[in-house]
Amino acid sequence: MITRTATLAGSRSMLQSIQDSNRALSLAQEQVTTGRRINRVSDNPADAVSALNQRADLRRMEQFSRNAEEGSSWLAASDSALTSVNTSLSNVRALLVQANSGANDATSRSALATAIRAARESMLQAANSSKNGRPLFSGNASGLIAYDANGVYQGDNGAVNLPITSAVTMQVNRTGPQIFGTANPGDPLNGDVFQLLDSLATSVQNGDSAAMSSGLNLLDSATKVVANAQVQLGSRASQLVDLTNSLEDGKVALQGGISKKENADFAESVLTLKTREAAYQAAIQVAAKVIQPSLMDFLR
Amino acid sequence: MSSFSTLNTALSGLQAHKRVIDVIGHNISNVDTEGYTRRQVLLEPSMGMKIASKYDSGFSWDNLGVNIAGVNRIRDSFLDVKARASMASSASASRLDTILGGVEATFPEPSDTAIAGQLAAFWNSFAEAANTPDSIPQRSAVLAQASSVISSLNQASNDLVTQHQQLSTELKMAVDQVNTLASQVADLNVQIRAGSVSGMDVGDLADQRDKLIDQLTSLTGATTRDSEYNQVDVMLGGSTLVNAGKTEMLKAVPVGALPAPLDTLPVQQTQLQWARDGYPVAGFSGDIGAMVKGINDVIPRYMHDLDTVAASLVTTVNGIHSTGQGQAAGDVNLTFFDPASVTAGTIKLSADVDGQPSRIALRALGGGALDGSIGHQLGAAGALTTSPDALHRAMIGRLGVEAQTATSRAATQAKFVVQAENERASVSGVNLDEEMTNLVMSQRAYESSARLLSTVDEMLDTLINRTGVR
Repeated sequence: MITRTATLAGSRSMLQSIQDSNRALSLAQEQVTTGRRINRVSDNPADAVSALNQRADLRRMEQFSRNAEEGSSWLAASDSALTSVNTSLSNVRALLVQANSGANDATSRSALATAIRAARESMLQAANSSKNGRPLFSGNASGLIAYDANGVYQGDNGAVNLPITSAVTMQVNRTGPQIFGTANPGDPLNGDVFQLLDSLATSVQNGDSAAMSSGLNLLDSATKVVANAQVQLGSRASQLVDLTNSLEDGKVALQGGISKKENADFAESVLTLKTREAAYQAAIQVAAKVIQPSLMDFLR
Repeated sequence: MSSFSTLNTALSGLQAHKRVIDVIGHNISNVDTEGYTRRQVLLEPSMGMKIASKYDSGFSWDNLGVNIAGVNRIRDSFLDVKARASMASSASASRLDTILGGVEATFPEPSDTAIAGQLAAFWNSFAEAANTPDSIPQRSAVLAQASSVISSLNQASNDLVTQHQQLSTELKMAVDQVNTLASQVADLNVQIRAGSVSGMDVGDLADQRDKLIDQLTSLTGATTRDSEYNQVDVMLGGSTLVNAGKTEMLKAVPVGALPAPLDTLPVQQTQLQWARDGYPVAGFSGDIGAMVKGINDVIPRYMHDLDTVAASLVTTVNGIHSTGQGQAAGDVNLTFFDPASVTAGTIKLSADVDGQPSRIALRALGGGALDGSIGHQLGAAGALTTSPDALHRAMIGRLGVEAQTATSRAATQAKFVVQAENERASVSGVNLDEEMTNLVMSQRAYESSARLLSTVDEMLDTLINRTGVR
């Protein structure tokens, strides 16, 4: 225990306390002016590292969101293309039924065949729909079209897989053959839908009613395949909406978490600042009072 | 017994108290002098000098009065040791805090613009390019992001090297300072010895020496040993830095590569040696101790950690990238980063892809031209547990904890120093109240001696002038 004090030793420890309180004050000021609790990692290493983790997660989620946007534009474009394919197919079916009713002369059969060929053309157009210049149904192939004017597939079997969350990777495309069937040069009736329509048009032109009736069945099953593909893409789209929602929720939660760790509570830091300001002023005022008196002041 | 002997008694009182007042004046005028030790005049009665003889009544009527036995420096060497030990610890802690503060400033995390944010943006640029693999602008964006990661790593590595160099320069300066201080202590030892032998007051020289030793201790953590004729030896790790009037010089020299795994770094290990024989100095601490730790351990450790991050970035990216294929058919088995440059200071894009965005492998080997599977795989690489991101975060965590510990330790040690100095000052410092009280006492004693003188004068006057012949 200190029993005797040197007159100016007190001022040294007082200086130290004033400096301490000044340092505390400037830290509080830093928090208020930057609005951040963590201005350097050592302010709170645990929170800083977990904020770093969450920041990395957030950046990944932002990319996942962009991937999801990309995916939903794939799915939406594919859906509208397939809707128009479906319309064309049901038109063809109506034409075929009409042609098969037996009350048609050569002129009207030829008109019906032309109509079927026109429907085929518009289906080809739909099958060549593209997104930002990239054909929707040509897999990962680089060409500008999925099917050429003769209905020959130009693409490959590539899948466009987009990571939507760290666990889910979604295929957002269907290739031409998956939707329209595989081409079969030897047997057009069992080939893809474009070959089928071509040969149906010929049958209608020729009035080949047996071929027309069997073609009707083949047409129905081709329609079913297209419809299936559309349903599949539709269910992916709805899954994507769910995932996007949960991504957005996750992003909001992460932002909240980061802000909680990194950002200062304004009310709290202002209060701390004010308290420390008061403490600092008290320290210097006390110093001013205490340093002065000695016996000297009282002896003449 | 002489008739005048009482005059001598009064004179001794006048002289003694004059000296006491002089010393009080010295104390008061040095109340604010750093390192000043208060003095106290030791008075003793003159009769103590008498030699006893068998005819004596036990009291000598001769030589009454007061003697000045000496002037003491009031100092407690135990408190000196304690204060100096805490000064050394505090100097070391505060230096370490400064060093780590510098390293921490190199990594301004958490932020969007520092390395962690750059890495995240880099991975995202791969995913973004993979969404549109035929877009050259998106591929160029990957190269641009890679360049900014590279320049951040280069920058951080350069910063650390610069800090290392600065610290080495500071160490050299500090060692020079130690050598100067040690020779000053040795010079003072010589003067103090000469003064002591001839019976001079060496208090002010001793004060000056104690102040120098304080500085020497906070620089090196040296200890002291009292030697003959009031000299002091200064010991460092069992050897003498100052031996009475002789000094052993120190030097700080680079001694080759650091021990593994730091041996690949472009910085050298530094050793504190005795200048005479090049023998390493043992057991030093203080400011210099922390500097040597900074040079040989702290900064190299973070350099190495940063290199690990860079190496992991190179291997992670190249490992995935080389399995893919660029836009042309021949763009196979390509590296993204130069596999020969795996440190933070040297990392660079590989010649395979530098300036050739079309060669970035975004598709699987033999995959369709618009396949982005490798790109997406690279885009997800930042989430791997072995990713450079994870290594970087771990490094930042270690740095944060170490810097936080250093800061709080420096603050605590600074408080210890103040406390130890207060304790020392409680013994050695000047208290004005006490000096004033002593001053009043000595003044009264002086006045009384003067009064004694005039009383004896009056007695003699009575005896000489008013008795006998009229």
